[in-house]
Amino acid sequence: MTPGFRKALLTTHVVVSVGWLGAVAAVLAVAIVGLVADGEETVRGAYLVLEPAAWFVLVPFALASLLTGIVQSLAGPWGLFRHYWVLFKLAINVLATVVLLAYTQTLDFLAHEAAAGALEELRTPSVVIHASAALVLLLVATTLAVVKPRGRTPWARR
Amino acid sequence: MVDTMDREQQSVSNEGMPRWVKVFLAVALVVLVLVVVLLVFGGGHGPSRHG
Repeated sequence: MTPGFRKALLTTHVVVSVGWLGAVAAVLAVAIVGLVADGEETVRGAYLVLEPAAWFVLVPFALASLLTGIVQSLAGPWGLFRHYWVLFKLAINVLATVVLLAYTQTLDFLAHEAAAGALEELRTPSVVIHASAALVLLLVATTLAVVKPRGRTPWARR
Repeated sequence: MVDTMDREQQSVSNEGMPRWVKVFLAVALVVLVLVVVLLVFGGGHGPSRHG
């Protein structure tokens, strides 16, 4: 892999990863509106927005972050399993992506209920809780990427 | 830059698992236990509980 291609890959990884974090923050804001707003139309609108936001922004960014992260780790000097900070970033990314993909079922359900006008089902803190947890995870991953704390795994020492 | 990185990381690798890794794993374990407890005793999870 040429240095130019590696830089382009790293740039892509940073853009989609930080973009994912920003999208989660936006989803959290909309979810809070859906939870606390008084107006029925506002609540329904919030959940109608969350479903396409998940499918067209969160899921593509999550998968792109995972893919670019794996490729550039394997091709770059840090490796994928040799350093703890890379390994933990991988674990966080995989966990967040798997939970996100599973959670699209809930978002699809809530959007369906919003379209049907079933407000009782929409008064749930679930989206706020999951978005908050995702935000924390992605902030930890971002911090690991910047700080790169020392420590080589047993696989690196062989 | 890669050689410097490797020398710094090598000096740490000789000392075993860094403290920050142990703290990280301990926190992750506590969070995992909490999540499992919530899922088991929380009265249902996922959209199916509404159906």
